[in-house]
Amino acid sequence: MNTVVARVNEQPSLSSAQMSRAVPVLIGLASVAVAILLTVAGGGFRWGWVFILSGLIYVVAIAIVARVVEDRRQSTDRVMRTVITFAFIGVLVPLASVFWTVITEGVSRFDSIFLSETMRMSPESMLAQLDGGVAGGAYHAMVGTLIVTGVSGMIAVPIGVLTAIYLVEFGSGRLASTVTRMVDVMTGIPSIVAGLFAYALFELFLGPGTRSGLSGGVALSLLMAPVVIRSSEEMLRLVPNELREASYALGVPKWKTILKVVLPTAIAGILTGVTLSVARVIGETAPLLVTVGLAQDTNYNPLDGRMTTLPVYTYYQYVQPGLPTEAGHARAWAAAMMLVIIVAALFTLARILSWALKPKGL
Amino acid sequence: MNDLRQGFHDEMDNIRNQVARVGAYVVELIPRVTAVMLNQDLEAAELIMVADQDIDRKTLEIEEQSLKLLALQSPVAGDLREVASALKIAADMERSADLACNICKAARRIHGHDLDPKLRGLIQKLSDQATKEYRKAVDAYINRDVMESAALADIDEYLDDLHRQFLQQIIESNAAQAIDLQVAVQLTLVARFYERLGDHAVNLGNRVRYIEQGNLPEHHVSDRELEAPAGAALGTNSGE
Amino acid sequence: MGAETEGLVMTNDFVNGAADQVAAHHQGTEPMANNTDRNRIDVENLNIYYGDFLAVRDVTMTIEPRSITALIGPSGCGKSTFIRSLNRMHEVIPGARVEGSVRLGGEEIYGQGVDPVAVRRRIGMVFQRPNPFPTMSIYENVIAGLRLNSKRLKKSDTDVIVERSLTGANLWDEVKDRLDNPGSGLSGGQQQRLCIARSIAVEPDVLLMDEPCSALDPISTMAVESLMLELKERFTIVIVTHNMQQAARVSERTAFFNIDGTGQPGHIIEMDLTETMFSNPKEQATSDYVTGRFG
Repeated sequence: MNTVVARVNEQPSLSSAQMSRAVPVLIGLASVAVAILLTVAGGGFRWGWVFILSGLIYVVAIAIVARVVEDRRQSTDRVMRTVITFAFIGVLVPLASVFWTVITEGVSRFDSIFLSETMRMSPESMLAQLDGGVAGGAYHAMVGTLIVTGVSGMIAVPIGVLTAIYLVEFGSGRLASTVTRMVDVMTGIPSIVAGLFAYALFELFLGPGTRSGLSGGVALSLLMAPVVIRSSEEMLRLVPNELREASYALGVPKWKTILKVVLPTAIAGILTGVTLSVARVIGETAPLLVTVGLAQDTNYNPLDGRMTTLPVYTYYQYVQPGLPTEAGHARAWAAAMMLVIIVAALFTLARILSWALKPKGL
Repeated sequence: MNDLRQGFHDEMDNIRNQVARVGAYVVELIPRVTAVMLNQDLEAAELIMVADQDIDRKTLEIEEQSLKLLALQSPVAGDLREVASALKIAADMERSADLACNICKAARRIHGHDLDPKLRGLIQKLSDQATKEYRKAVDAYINRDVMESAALADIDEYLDDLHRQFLQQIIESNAAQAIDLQVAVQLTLVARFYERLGDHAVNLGNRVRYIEQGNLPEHHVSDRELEAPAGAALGTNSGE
Repeated sequence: MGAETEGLVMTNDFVNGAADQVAAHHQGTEPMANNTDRNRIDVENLNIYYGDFLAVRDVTMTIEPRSITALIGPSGCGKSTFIRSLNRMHEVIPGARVEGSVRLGGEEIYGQGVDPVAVRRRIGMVFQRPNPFPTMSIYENVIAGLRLNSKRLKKSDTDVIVERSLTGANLWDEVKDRLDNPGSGLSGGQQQRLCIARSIAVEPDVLLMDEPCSALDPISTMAVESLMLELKERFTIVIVTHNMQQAARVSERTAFFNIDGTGQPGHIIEMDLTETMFSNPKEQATSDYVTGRFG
């Protein structure tokens, strides 16, 4: 009767069935083929549909085959891995597509004229445009972006870093928790609201219709500050408490500890956070439309008058291109490409700073 | 790599030095008590017996310090063997000093009686041999000389031999009426004392071997006991 | 040593002289009557609170100058809290306060108007995990305590101080060729000695050590212990350790802290010469703890 009694202590063997490597490849090819057939049958060959359909078919097919061939855990592993990979590809493709589009469209106007001239064009150049010549540039927009972003940085960075220091080193009461909550709210402010606030603020002091680079800077600083505060706070919290204790134990007062020990240790992260916050606001269009406006020529004075910035420039070149429209659109693409390049450069700078300034041993 | 526990090892050196000093004292003491014995110098005997109290105190100090080292420094390996041995050696040396005092006491008891030249000669030989062995043992301890200490067991056989000769001579002298029973008894005890001193020296040698190499001496002692059981020396001249 | 056994003159003087030497070797520091010695700490009826919670109850003890005092006891018995109260480090935790008195060289450190920062300049601290400042080189780490107190010092002066402190911490030979390397590039034991050098550079009166060897390997531990035995010539040292053998090896006096139960305050059970504590303690609880019969 031994055979009736279940062998409770049966140990599973160490090895289990596995799909051979050729199988996923075959299934992949098959699903692409099926997708192509379906697409063509459905209404003509389009890459997008082929891509999505083949992906879906592959996932389903591999799931079924895996369940049959392999054991439960391995099949689940394989299916999840496939799904995650496709999700990653799904994210990557649009991003790559954006880059590709912007660069291919914008590179045609990425020339010295674009970089050195403004939209104040002589009648000759305007005529030359109609004949296919190249005219007009975005120099004033670049200057404007630099000034406005610079102003907003000068406002947001000190306030942000000091607030972060307060929250981490001193805050433990009601004020600190209120501030933290407010900062959380501020991270979600729609950019147009920030712009309107700044406009209204300046209207209060200087009358209606006031447009200036300063006003734009104030608006952007409302958007920058929460990012600076949050990231600085994180970096300051990352500084081990033992370092502060070591400093106190040497008889160093608290403020000096913060200034000479904590900040230098966290500076890499803080600078990275600042760089990222700049990258965030540099492309904001809505608030700048309201507060800074548009100008044809370069305005070096942030305190007075309209100033063109890159995102606003892009918008207007697209919406009011003038004649010929292609020339305007080309300028818009080029400006957009400029923005993308600047943002990419800022992110790279952030990574370099982080690597270069990081103290060893942390 | 330099010594990371300098203070601790200095303290161990200190204990070792103190043990060596007590040992050196015993080495010097044996010929002195023999002189007391042979010259019947009662005054010297008194001084020696009073000095014995200092030896007792010194060995107690050694014991206290060894215990302190064990409690506070957790010695291991060679250090542990060293400290544990210091405890035993100090106790043995204190016993050795006591044995020497006992020789003085015996000298007092036979005061006034003359000893014939043969007996005197043997006493001197016993003393010289015991002194020689003890000196060798103490030197071996100071220099950590395992070879020297190994030689001790063999040399000690000569002392055992002298011991038997002396007992034989006592019996003869007593039979020839040269000494009376009281003196014979005391001399027998004295013989035993010298022989015990030699055994202590051998023990010390074994301890040195233990400290250096980690072999406990008990195994070897039992081997010896098997070869020459105690008490065989008394009685007839059953020569080996 | 063989020479010593030959030619010894046999008189009673020898025996007596040797006995004197033995007596002189007997150890044990006698408490000093002078309680304004700047390296001496007197604690009286100290109670330490975190908010309303009493963490350490009624401690009275004297920390003898230029000696090593060890604090032992099971986890959570308050010894770390207590040692931090000696240089007011516990105050970095909000809500921490004390009742009672702690006097350094006769001066009350919890007195009215006493600046905790000033107290910490005279009572330094070394922590369990070595914590050299990561943004500073070895040289800068050692001098940090002085620089951060905005003492304007010439390079020649700081050179001298750095060499003296690193020598005092038995680290000079190992790092003298790489003083500009980052402090965190050293091994654990070296980092801890760097932290000790940093602490002694400001020339405190007392050095507190909170489990300084817990994070170190045995050789580094022995190196730090050997260093402590040298440092006690100049500084008073208080060490918290959960390693009893370490307390036995380095300290002259030991205090045993215990706790009656979770949530109860910690307190001193017994404090005495280390030799007594480990060979013949008076309290049964002490004996149980050191022999490992509980805790």
